[in-house]
Amino acid sequence: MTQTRKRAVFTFLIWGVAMAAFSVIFFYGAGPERYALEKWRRLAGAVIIACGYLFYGLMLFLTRIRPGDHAVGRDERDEEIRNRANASAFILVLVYVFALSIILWEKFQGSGFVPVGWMWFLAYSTSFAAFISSSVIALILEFKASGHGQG
Amino acid sequence: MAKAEIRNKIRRYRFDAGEMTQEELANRAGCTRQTIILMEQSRYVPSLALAFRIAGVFKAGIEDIFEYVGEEHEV
Repeated sequence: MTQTRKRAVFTFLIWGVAMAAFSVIFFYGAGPERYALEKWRRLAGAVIIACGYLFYGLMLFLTRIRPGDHAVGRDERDEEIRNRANASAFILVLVYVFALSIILWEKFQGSGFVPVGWMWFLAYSTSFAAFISSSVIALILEFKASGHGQG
Repeated sequence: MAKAEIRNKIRRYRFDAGEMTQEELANRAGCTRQTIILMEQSRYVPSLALAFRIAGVFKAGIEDIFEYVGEEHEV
């Protein structure tokens, strides 16, 4: 398995689990409106995202290319896939942030304010969206055998 | 722009080189085995640099291995 594929799979798993765990904490009990007021939920959210970054960093370290590796772990096709996945994920994250902001505006425009808990959600979920979308797109491009010179 | 295709004879050259494995070719050319597999299936077109390295492994010219097949190109 190439480094690109390995990293895409593990990135998807790590951030998928983190997103699921954060969603449970965020929508738990009193829901988003009280998220910012309940310290333990804010703390749990922070621990989840910290663990996400910790495991992600560990995964990058463990899947690095070592000088003595027998097989070539990454080549021009992988670079191309990664570049295209990151470029596409960038657009998707922009669309996601814009869409969520508009949805919040539509939902709360009558009351005149947005519960601050939703700002936490926007902040955390942007990270999840970036990592998950780039890994999924990389896997799709890998599956489609896309890369340099493909139409 | 006209649609073009680059065909290759990597499989045949591997056979002629004593059934060189895809992995050995990949390691010598500096790419992954997956890329060699896709090239042999004509599902991936390599960069010029990789094409030269593959030709170098077989001690052949790049045009011996890779063939441009397409309509007349437009500028």
